[in-house]
Amino acid sequence: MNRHPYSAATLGTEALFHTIIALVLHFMVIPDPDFWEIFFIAQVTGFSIKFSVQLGLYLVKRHPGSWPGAFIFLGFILGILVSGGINWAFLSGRHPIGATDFYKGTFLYILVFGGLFSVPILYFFYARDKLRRSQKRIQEEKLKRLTMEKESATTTLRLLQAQIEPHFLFNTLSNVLMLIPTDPDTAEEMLSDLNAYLRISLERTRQEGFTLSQELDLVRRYLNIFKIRLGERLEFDIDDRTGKPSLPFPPLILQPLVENAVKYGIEPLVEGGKIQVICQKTNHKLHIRISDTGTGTDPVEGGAGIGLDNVNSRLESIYGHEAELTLKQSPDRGTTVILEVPL
Amino acid sequence: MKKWTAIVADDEIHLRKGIAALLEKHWPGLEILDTADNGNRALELIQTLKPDMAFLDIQMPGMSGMDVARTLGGRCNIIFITAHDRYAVDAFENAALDYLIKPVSERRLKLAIDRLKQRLNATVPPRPVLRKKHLEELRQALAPTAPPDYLRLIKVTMGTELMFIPVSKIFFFKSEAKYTRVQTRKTEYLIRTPVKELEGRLDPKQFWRIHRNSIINVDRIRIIKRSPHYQLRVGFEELKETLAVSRSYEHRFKQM
Repeated sequence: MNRHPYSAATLGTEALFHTIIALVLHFMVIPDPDFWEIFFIAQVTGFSIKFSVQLGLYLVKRHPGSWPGAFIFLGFILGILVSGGINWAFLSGRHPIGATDFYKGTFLYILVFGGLFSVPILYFFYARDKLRRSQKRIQEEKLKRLTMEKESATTTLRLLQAQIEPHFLFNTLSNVLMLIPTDPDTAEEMLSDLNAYLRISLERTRQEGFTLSQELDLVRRYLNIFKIRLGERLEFDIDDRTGKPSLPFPPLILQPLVENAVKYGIEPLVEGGKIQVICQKTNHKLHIRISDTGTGTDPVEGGAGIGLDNVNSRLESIYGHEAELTLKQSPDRGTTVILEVPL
Repeated sequence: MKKWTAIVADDEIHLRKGIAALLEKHWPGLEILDTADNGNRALELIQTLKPDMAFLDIQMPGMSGMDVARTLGGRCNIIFITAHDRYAVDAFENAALDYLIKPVSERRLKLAIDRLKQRLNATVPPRPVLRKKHLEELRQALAPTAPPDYLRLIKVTMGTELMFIPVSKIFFFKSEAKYTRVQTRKTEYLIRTPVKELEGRLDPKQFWRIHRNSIINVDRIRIIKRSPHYQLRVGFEELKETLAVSRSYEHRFKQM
């Protein structure tokens, strides 16, 4: 259906089509004995309408947004008038009865032809337009799907990157290497925690249905590793008071908050401090409190802000407005993050 | 043969001990005078013990290893050992003799020791490997294309406590008398930072100045309409209040 409207093939097909209509009319409808006259009228009317409608379509293209039906209809009327004019000019001489009667008879034919021609022509354009539109829609959907796929791949990658910070990995492996000759038991313990930490992280990028206990396990492994690395400087306590190990909970909420507590609360202090994670369940909500005793760096100036803002955006995309994230700091008690999500 | 002296500084105990042990193993002629678990202590040790060289971690509590090197200004040979590669240019600018990346392999450490021995035995001080100009070029080439650090949290004082509001939660900032009102879905807070100053510190893609007295979070816009006085007004999710857009800022909405 995408042939060029003025190609020899198109014009030939159309001429053939006009001829068929002329034949049908000659043998079945109109008792006029002169076939060539009807043939002539058929061709003239058909092509007049075709070219006029083409003109209409051209105008539609030039004026996008206008109602295409109006141009095509005007083209159709123009085609009939032109056809009437040409037919009259050529054929009226052959009829001795005169122009007025010629019109009465022939104009009726032209209208009939016009109607018969315009239906397939309009159908042709309608079909072509529909095809174009559906092709466009297919393209758009393909693009949308590709964008979505790309986004999901990027999200997975970012999820992975966000979970496994390279420096965390390098520093931890460094510790393991140093511990192997002096304290192989601790090295083994650390590797086992790192192994579990990586396994949970990697599995999470593939599977659905994350649970709170999985998150807490990940955080516990992470803090265990840091406890070995920082020695006396870190103390931590994870207290799950919900009593429901399979409570659903999304990833990358708790972990970045705990990482912040280590990075900005404990690590900058020579004397270190304590991190506490408490989970509680009320009727419809899950409350998680992450606190550290560090004097705390100002999260506005430090890098903690990015993590927190990301966690907040993530919470909102998962829970809408039903989740709450509050971050408080006081000089004598360190930083506390309170998280409330619906169950 | 002269016995060389060194100190080791790292805030992680096993790394501190491990590096000292590895050095002693591969460089019997080196004496580790002491170790430090933070930057300030490292500086103190260098200034009192005057070792020939110091092996410093970079990220440490208190002064960082880089701060220590900067303070010393070349009065001690510095070798950095860190998990980060992004400080390398800074390190050489502060005349570091070497830059080792954790985890350090024994092979790499031996190479570092060989180089150090050569340097220390040389009678003429070596020319810097990289000149200042080159370092500057290198720094520019390596400069992260990351966006500048925009504010991601707004600090609000609540009695004796500080509270931090993630900027994504904020609908708009509006000047009100001496204060700036920070509006979120449910709550409003007052801060002292003027709107004008906030404008420069917030991500301009997300936060638009729409008026002399207000900045809005574009992500939170729900409706933009013309008032009967033909003035553009912006409405937000679930908030009754709408804010006026002054003529000079209207063009931004026309591009939307």
